[in-house]
Amino acid sequence: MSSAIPFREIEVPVYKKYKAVCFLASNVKNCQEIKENLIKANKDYDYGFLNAKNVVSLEQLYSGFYKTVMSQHDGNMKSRTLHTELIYSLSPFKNIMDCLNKFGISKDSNSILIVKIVESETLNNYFIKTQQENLKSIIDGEFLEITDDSLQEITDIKALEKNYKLKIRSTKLENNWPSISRNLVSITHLKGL
Amino acid sequence: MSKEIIERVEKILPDFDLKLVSQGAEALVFVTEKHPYLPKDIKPAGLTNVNNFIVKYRPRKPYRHEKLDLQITKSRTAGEAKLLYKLDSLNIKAPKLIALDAINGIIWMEFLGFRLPNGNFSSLKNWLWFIEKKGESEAIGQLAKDVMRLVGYAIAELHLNEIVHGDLTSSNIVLVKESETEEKYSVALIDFGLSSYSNLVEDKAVDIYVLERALVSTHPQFSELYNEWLLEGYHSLYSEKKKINAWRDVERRLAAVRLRGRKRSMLG
Repeated sequence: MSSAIPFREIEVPVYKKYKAVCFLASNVKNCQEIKENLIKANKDYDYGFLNAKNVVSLEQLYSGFYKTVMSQHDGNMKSRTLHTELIYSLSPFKNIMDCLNKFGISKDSNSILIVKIVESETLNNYFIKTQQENLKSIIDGEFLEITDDSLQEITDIKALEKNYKLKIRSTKLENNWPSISRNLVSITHLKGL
Repeated sequence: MSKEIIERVEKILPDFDLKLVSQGAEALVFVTEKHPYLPKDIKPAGLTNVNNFIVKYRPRKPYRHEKLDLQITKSRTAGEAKLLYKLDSLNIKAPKLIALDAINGIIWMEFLGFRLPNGNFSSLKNWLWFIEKKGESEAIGQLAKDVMRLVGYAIAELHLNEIVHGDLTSSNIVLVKESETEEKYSVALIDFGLSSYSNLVEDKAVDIYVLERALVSTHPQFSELYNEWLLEGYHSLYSEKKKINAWRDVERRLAAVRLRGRKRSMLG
């Protein structure tokens, strides 16, 4: 299939200065290469790369974006760029390096969620098209539609339980997606408070 | 005064159609149909109502120093949000957290409850009034008994997890529909603005005492029975969890609080 890769545009009320466009790739084979380019700050790799096994729902992704643009608006950002701030918002760790390593992409990641946050007026069809083409060339993997189902297919519940300390919950988490998603969304909103 | 506050919250949350539902000394509560950040095609997970959301807003207090005010608003708002998350993770029925803007004193949470046949909101107070109107057999019938026991049980759940509500009244307790066809309800506690972590017998006894007094004043005719059922429900969880000694402590202290009132004597 040579058609354009699927994407999802994200915007939220109130904090309208920024929008995001998101992509999901699974079976990615060149994560090491991506990571190296990220470290080198290669311009073609200017995205928020999230390890998709930590994300269970679109609601969780939206809550991270919401928190990020709210922090930007309030001048409360804990990191330097919107992309790292998104990773920070979604991850349970306080240390930014921990966030990037465990929540961002690592050389053995398999599925990645790619988020490009830009000023709202930049985001138009042409922009999305160039992003799609760029991603096709830098990522060796399969691009998927971002839905709760496709995310949950990729989710690693064991890693989630460990990273977010979800074991303390008195509810059974195994395959209880609404409750897992609710928990992760709450954790995102309470991050840093 | 109130108009200015509402204008301020409308400025923080433009494009949201906010309907004021309650106003206290500390906060204003609104209902809105729009989710703070999700588009229409994505429904928030694990909520009983995905079409209505509660916005709780703690306005600034003009008499406080600005910096201090900001800090107090932020920490109280965040504190309440953390508690809601804690309750959710303990599986205690209370509004779930949806979003948080601590700096502006705003918590978004789940809308619990429904409209009674007379159009009023299903707080315990409204519901008791509603069934009292139907006559004595309803007012002190099996359903009333079940509901009051659930209330006691819910409070005991809180107390056994070392949380005290701090402001238990019959309007801070909400009936939630468990079935569309039958009259089957569960009970949720709301408004944790004055809640705190405490394992003191005194705090727990005062929690119950405050509700007892509220029931006596809003439902004088049957309050004795209501309070009796309430304590039965409260006791039942303690015995379920084999915490009979803890129950006796609360019971004993409650008797003392009843004699002296909510405030502890300043003498001695």
